[in-house]
Order: sequence, then C-alpha cells, then structure tokens
Amino acid sequence: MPKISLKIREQFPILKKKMHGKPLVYLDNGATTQKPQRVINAEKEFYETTNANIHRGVYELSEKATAQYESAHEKVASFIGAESFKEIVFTKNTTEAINLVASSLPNEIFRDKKKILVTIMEHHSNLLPWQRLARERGLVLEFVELAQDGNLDLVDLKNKLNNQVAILAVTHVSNVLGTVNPIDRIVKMAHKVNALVLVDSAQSIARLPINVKKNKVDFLVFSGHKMYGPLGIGVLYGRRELLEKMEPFMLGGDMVTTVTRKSATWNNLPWKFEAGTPNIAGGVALGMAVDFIKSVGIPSIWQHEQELVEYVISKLLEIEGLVIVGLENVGEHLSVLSRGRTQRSSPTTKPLIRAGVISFTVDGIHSHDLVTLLDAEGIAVRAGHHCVQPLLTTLGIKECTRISFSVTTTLEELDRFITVLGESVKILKR
Amino acid sequence: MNDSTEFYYREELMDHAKTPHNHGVIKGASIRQKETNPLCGDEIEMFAQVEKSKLVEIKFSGCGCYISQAAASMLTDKIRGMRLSAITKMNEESIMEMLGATVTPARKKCALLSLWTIQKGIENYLNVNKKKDAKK
Repeated sequence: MPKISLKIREQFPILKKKMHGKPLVYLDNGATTQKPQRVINAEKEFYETTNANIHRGVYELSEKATAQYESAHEKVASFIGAESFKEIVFTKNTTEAINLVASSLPNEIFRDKKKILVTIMEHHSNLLPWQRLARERGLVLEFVELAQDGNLDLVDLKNKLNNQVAILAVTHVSNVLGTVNPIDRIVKMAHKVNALVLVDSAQSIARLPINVKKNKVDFLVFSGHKMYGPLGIGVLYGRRELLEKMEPFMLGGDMVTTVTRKSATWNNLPWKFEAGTPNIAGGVALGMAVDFIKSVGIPSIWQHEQELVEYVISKLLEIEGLVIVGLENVGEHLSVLSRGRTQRSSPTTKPLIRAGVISFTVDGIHSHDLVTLLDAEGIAVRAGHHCVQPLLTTLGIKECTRISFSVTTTLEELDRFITVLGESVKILKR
Repeated sequence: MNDSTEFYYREELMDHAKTPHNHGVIKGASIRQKETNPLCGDEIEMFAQVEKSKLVEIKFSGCGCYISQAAASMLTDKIRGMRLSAITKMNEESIMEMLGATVTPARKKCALLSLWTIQKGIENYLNVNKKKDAKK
C-alpha cells in the first residue's frame, strides 16, 4: 500500500498560509477539509469555460454543462458502489439530504410501526429531523446508547430493534468520538426486523470504504466539503425502489415532466429531487474530489490516519488532567498502542478502533480558552459542543476540544500541536 | 503572547477568571435570568435585587471559559449600585473597556454573555412591572 507522500500535501494551496506569522496547522478536517488545487480549478474552470444552465438549454454550452454535471453523479455512484446515477441526488449538504429523507419517506414504511431509532452519537443534523418526524407522526424516538468502551452498544441496539422500528438513523463515524460503527452488521440487524437504515457518512466518506450495494444500505448521506470537495454540495444516495416511492422534497423547475394548471408529473430520478437550478459548478468539482480520493486511495488514507491516531493518543495521554472523550472508561486498561489500534490489557476484549477524529477535555480548562491559545500559534482545532449536545450530556461534559485529521496531516504537525497544547495547559493552569 | 492571548497573561483578569467575585445565588431575587452561549452551550444565571430602580445586589452562577467568568465577575462588581437604566445602556464597548484586553471576534460572545443575561433580566423585570402598574 503506497504511503501518503508529502507531494499530496503540496497540492493544497491554503496549507502554505501562515497564521499569526506561524505555519498553519489545520486540525479541523471534521468540520471541513481543505481543497486540493485540482478541485479549486475544476470549479473555476467550469465558470470560465462551461457555465450554462443544465437540462433545458438546447445549445452546445448547456449540453456540455449537463454532461459534466451528470458525469459527476456517475462518479459518485461508482465511488460508493451504487447501481446507477439515478440513485444519486445532489443536495446542499448532509443536513439537507437527511431532511429530504425525513420529509419524503412514503407512508407505507410507517404502517404498523411505532418507533424511529437513532443513536446517542448522532450529530444534531441526524437527530432534529427525526425528532420532528416522530412528533408529527406520533412515533416514539428511541436512542441506542454507548457501551463502556465508547463504541455503540450493539446489545442495546439489538434490544431496541424490533418490528416496531420504521427507520434507524446511524452515523458511520462519530464526529466527536471517532468511533467506527459496523455498518454492515447494523444494516443486517435492522433489515431482519424490516426497518430501513439511513447512514450518515459525513465523517467516513473520505476515510473508510463504503459500498452501498454490498452493505445493502437504504440511504447514505454525506457532504462534498468534508471530502476535499467544495462547499454547498452534498449527496443523498437512496435505494432506487425507495426513491421511486418518495414524494419530492421541493417543487419547482427541472423536477417535472409536464405541468398543467392543476397538477404536475415528476421527472425521472434523480432530477425529481433536484428542484431548481442546482450547484452545477460545485457538483462538477465534487466529481473532481472523488477523482482525488481515488487517486490517493481510501486504504492508504485510512492507514495514514491510523498511524497519526496511534501517535497522538499516546502523546495526549502524557498530558496531566487530559481525558480522551469516549476513552475515559477504558483509560486505565490502555496498555500498549500498536499498529494504529489501542490494545487493551485484557485479551478477551476487542481492540479499539478510532478514526482520525479525537476529542478531549483537560481538567479545569475550558476548550475555548485552549483553542484561543492554540490559534495564536497557527493551530486550528475545534472547541465547543460539536453539535452533539445529547451525547456530551450523556458523557457528563458540556464542551470539549477536537482534533481531526485528513490526508494532509503530518506527524510533524501533531508534534507541534502537542508541544503547544502542553504549553497552553501550563499557561492556563498557572 | 500576542494581542489575541493577552487576556491569559494579565494577572488581574486571570484572578477574576479563577476565583470570580459574586459567584452564588440570591433567594427570592427580583431578577433571575439564565442565558446560554450558543458557541459552547455554557450557561450563566444572574440573580439581582432591585430597589428604587437601582440594582442593589447581584450574584451569578454557572461555569464557563475564563473570559466569560472574568467578565461576569468584573461586571457584577461594576454594576452593583447602578441604576437599571444605566445598565441597559451598556454595550460591547463598555465590556471591552472594562476588560482592558483584546478578545478575538469569535470570543466576544463569551465576554458579552453576562451583560446580555443581566440586560435581558432587567428587560423582563421592567415588562412585568409595567404590566403590574397597568393593572393597578
């Protein structure tokens, strides 16, 4: 497997920037990744050479724009193993994709059902639409809780998954804990009781392999900007049979075939769900982001991140009063770290797997104070509640600091981060 | 140290942050108001006693970052004994002047949370009293 080369990092123009006179160390990839030159160029070139509206223009420029936009759908479809581009709806972002599903699910999936199931680690975007849907349909919203090791409690999931559940909404990778949920296993469990599964892939799409057909995922949602693509473009994958049955989320241009004074008929998939002029340039550039990820290779990205995770966890735990969120219960069992997996002393327990998303608290220090000091040294990390307030409440904390990696993150950057973090803690504890 | 971290190097500010003045509650207070910083979910609750349009006693509860705690500590010291009308006229500038240190744009919410909370409390207090007067 090829190692991630520094040449890849050089493709990201923003990483040459200095902040407060110091080299930028960008460790907030969970919020948004930076963009390689070819993605920036793709969006720019579209406006410079191909800009026209799609589908309706019967002239060459429009045809070219249409072809590029449709080709981006095909690239995404092939990237996630969808059967056809008809199953790929471009949205504004992950949030819009989830809202689309929650608003448009056909009545029949709620027949004889009384529950919607989510997990306690969901981002607010994969919670609030379900809260409202449950309220509107008079359903019960239930939460699958965390196990002692910070992973999803699969026993609890099994107990709560019964034939009363209409849909299970679950994240692939937690945006705070970095835990990886076993999607194939979860989907199998859900399908056994005839429940649909929506997988939030926002944090996993750029680091873990996903094959919707093989894993039989019903809905998969993610954002372009968290996978080296542009802002303002996201993806909903839906199983064709389901998308066919769903009513459009928004009504307007391009999503219809014929319109009379009183009614209309809907366009084919996926255009039925893309009302109005979409973000065409963003879609084209998203296609380029897929090409970028493929050129580096998901296995290489994952391996690279695991080396960083292993390194940073061992270094973080050396800082007095620092607790890694979701690892606090197993902290005392941490013995050795090897090959990117946190090995625990008990041979009967499974090794912990964490994606390149790590959150921590430091005893007596607020994350915002820490982040201000890190920022002054050019280090960008995230603080606050990370849009997962119910999870943090469950864990008994209000806020924490998060670092999240990408293909551009280096060990040298982590060294600098750890040094400045140590110094900052000293300043704040003085 | 640079402008954005000046706060953390100023001893008097860090003293306020670490051992804030007026931390506590007032039972049966004329004003009781809770507000949240949307950035981090930190909550602050202000309790105040009003006599003849003057704020005669004030306490706050809730914990948060050093900037929010120092600001709350200094603000409660400052406004004790002030007329309500004068407190409602205070603004971002008054708080920055009070702190005497630069706060980055993203952290202004932390510095201003206590002022917003007491101002909201005063507004509610005055509205309730207006309604009471109208009924008389």
